[in-house]
Amino acid sequence: MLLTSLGGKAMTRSLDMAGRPDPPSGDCKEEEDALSERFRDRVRLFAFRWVGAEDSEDVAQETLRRVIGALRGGRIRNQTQPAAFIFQTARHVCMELRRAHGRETRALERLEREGIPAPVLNPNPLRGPVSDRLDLTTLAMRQLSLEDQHVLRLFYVDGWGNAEVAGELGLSAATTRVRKHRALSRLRDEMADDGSAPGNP
Amino acid sequence: MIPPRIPRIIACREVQDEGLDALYLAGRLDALEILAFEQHCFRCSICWSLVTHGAGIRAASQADHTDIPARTAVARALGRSPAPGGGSVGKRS
Repeated sequence: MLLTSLGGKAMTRSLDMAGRPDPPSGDCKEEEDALSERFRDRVRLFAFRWVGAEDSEDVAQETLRRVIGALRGGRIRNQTQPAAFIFQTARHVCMELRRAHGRETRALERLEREGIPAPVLNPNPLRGPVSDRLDLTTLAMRQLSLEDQHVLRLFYVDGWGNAEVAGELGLSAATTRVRKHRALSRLRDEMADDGSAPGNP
Repeated sequence: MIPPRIPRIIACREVQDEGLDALYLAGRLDALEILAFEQHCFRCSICWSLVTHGAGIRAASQADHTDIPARTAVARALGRSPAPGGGSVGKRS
């Protein structure tokens, strides 16, 4: 699909005199944009958990920059399955950032000890991969039946697993799975009716 | 610290059977499970879709409790009593 064609072109692309991969042609650029679009939110959510909201976008940008560089240079072994490479790259970027933050924190602590106040960090907890769809989700939830809302709340607001929800509802695990699936489908439909639902990645 | 390796491969069936997406969003998986689940989501668009919708529901509820009917109110309307201690759950056993 996406990476099959991208990979074929990337593998045959030559390096310039400085050892950098050639810039992409028009088709490749579109495919690279599609790749970024497809994986950006996944990287952001991954980074959101490991390095926090403030740095998640930076991690996503750096990860995708490295991945696209690797694709252009033909350095991804399995170009039809880029997910594993992207995941590992995101992990590396997060680890590098955490190490850098450790150094920064130690420097700030040293400054505090020496009597110079550290800058106040002000993270916004809602700045994340889903924050721009809050209103849409809320409106869609309102349109669902009370039963659908109840099931989705048990899973996603209360954070229960399938067995716990099944116990609460007095249903079998299989039926609970189906209820959840159907409630989510109806939520997706409601969001799609609004015309701005997120498509399946 | 980010664990150095992935302990196992998670399949879609396991995500559905256990509701791993909800447990992940609630922070009820341990670090290695989180990493394995996230790796799965990089490969699987269906499970990733579960996470994005679940995260939306969770964030919308946290952003404004008045917009989405409270769990107790919904349970009452359905003729059920919410289980005690709902919403404050620890790591799964």
